[in-house]
Amino acid sequence: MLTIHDLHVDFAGKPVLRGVNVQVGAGEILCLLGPSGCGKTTLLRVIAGLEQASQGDLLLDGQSIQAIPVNQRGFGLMFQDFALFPHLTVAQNVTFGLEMQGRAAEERQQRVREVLQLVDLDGFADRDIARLSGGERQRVALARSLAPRPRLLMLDEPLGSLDAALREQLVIELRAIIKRVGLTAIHVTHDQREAYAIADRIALMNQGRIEQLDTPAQVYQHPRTAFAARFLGLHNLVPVTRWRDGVAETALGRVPVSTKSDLLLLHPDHLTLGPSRSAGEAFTVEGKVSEVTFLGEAYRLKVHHASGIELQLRIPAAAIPPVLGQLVTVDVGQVLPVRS
Amino acid sequence: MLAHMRRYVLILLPLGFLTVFYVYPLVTIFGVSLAPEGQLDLSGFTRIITGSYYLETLAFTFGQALLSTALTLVFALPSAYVFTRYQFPGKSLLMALATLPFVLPTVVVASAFLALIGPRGLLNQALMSLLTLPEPPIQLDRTLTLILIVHVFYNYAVALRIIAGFWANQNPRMEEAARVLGADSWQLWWRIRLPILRPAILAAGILVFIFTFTSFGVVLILGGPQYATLEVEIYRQATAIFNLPMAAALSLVQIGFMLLLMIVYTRLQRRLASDLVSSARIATPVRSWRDRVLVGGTLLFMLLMLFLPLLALVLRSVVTLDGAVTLQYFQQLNINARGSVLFVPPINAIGNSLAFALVTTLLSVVLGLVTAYLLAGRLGQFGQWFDPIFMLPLATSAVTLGFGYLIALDEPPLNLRSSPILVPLAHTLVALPFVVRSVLPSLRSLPPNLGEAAQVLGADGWQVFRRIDLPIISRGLLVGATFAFTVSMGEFGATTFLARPDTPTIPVVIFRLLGQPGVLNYGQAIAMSVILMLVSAISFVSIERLRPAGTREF
Repeated sequence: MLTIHDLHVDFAGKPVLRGVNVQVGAGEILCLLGPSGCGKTTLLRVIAGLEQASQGDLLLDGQSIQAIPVNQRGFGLMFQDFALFPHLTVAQNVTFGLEMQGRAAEERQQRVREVLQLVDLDGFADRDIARLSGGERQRVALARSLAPRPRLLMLDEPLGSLDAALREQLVIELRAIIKRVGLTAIHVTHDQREAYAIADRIALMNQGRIEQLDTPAQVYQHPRTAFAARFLGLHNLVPVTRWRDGVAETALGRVPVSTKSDLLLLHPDHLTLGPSRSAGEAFTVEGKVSEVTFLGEAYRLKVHHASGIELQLRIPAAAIPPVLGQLVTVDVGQVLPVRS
Repeated sequence: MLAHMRRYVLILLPLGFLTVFYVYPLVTIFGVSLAPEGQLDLSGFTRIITGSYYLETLAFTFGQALLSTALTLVFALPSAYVFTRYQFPGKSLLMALATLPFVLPTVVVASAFLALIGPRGLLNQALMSLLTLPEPPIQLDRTLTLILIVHVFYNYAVALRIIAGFWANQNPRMEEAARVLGADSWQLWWRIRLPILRPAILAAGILVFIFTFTSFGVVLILGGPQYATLEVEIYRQATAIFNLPMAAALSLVQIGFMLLLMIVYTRLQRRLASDLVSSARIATPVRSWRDRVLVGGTLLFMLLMLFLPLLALVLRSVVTLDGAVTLQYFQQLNINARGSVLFVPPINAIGNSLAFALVTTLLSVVLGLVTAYLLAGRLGQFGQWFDPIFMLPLATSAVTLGFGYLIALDEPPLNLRSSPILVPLAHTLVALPFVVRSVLPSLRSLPPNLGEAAQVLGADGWQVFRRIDLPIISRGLLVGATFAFTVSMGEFGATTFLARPDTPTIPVVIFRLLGQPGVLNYGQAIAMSVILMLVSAISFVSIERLRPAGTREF
């Protein structure tokens, strides 16, 4: 549906986007995930028409939309701070886009009622924006961008300014609403959990490029680059000193790996605490426990290897954790080759 | 117990000052006006209503203020757009310079416009010699047009600051949201920008209206005898015709009207402060031709409108009417010419002004500080009610004030008529709102738990003030002090009543010199104006440097 082709954006000579390629299918929710300054918001603003690309093309159903001004694109955009119009009521905010389309009053009223119902704000129509809570404002902002039936809905960190508990609940509702309406959506966030929960596919961005484009499960289980792994909180990266014939040499020992790479990721999900030393083939790492943190649902351990490498793993909350300084054996179930 | 005592003293100090030096003189005016012979007599008012002359004065005052306000907003709004929207080199310097007129004394501004487009002004002289004309081609002297131009000159930056300051704090995403929703640029102005700016435009409008409604020096000097605002009429009734009951009745009409406007203004202003949403930056660099035309046009307007008159003033002070460069106007300032309207050499006025200004600064800083504490609710929640009342001296005509002092404070129980303290007292009253407005924002933003934290750490009330409050509000206080100094240096309306002939201030001397024929008087008036402008400009630069970021209550 939307094709982004080799998109470049410069701000005052400084490259912000350097060749972004991505396609968004009809009815898909694509999430742009990345740290601040990676270009994800800029990409969204270029798609919306609020910024101009210096190179590349934007195609909607095969037609270039670069020359179409922002107010004629017919897209919806929800801002991080919602940008609700403070001088208008809830209903007046929601109806604004419909008025711009020149819809008849009757149709507008009908649509406003419909959309407010969709976001669960029946009875809020005549409220003042200033008297709404954060969660209510978020819904109004969503309703406002949904009302004109946009061809594409864009959401720029729409949950960023809300507190964690509310965010967790709203992200699920948000996905449900988008899916119910059958919208194509692009969602920008720096929060991986939000991305996992809302996206059909995640485009992980770094320094103006897309680092990895995959389903949420793929991104989490198989980060392809060191940046992706670290950004997702997977820090067990071990440099490969030499690779030959399916065996990688590392500071932790020799590991069988089918493909050559600079780094190996020891995914915490595949690490368990010994002492299953019996299994002769398995790759194990010995080290001293340097940190034990109780997280609630689990313990997080840091195990310090003699080479200086530190591995993180989790053990169930029901288990009895080792004490600091205790010598333990970590069973490594799987290693993933990762580009640096 | 002691703490309670101290609190009452602190509450009573500003209220007492206001009562004795503001309410008492005004009530005395009421008395003189309503009951001249001890019996209630409303004839002054009935004459205002029935006599067409006074109704015309009222209509003119109202009309010119309305026109001035509309014109000021028409010029300030596009400029506010440019200042909010674009980054360009020298922007903050320009904004600072544009505010300079606001602190310039009316007499200086009037002289500056005379120096530029008056009959003997630079522009007329240049055009006459260039086109060999026998008469000055620009004949704006003593016209409504000139009054309006000067009012725009004065208030343009006030409106610009209020609107641009408010605008810069609005969320720029709002406009983007409207555009994404399909608004074109016309709809953006009418549906989003103007409605959102409405409180700021309204506040700016009311303030400009207040200032121009009570306009005195500008109308008196530039308008000539056929134009009179209420303020000018009060002055004429009191000094020329000695019709004190009439002057008092007119004052009362003006005060009642101003009180209403002040209440609306302080309400609005509180809303402006609480409407701050976002600190996201809206300004973008100048890119397209449209950008260049907009920014260039604004700069050109400001140059022509604001800086040319001041430049003319400086030039005129060192260039004779024949075009020779000279310093004689300055050199002759220490000569008390024979047959002069002054009893003392003009140069003496500088010393007088400085002395009055220092006393005023001291008085108004102490009073302003206590008043700010009162208004911020620090001495009890009720303090906020007094907000419009302490703004009132700003809206009360200085002429009324000076006149009120004259009739109220010249007999027991308080006889200050022969005391030179009368001038700084009146100046303090005029300067007080400025000091209060400078301190109030930082005081309001001061979290009360800072004091509590200090108290838990062992500080007593005085130490909390010295070690916590004062360092935080000191910049605001310094700004207020500088304002007070500048206001006192330039104050004209009240001083014309109160300054004794042998101790005139600079503005009084300028006014008297301008009223006299002769090249030397004119040149001396201009030279004195330049001196006063320099003093004001220096004070103003310090205000701009000291002003804490983001605090613009004016």
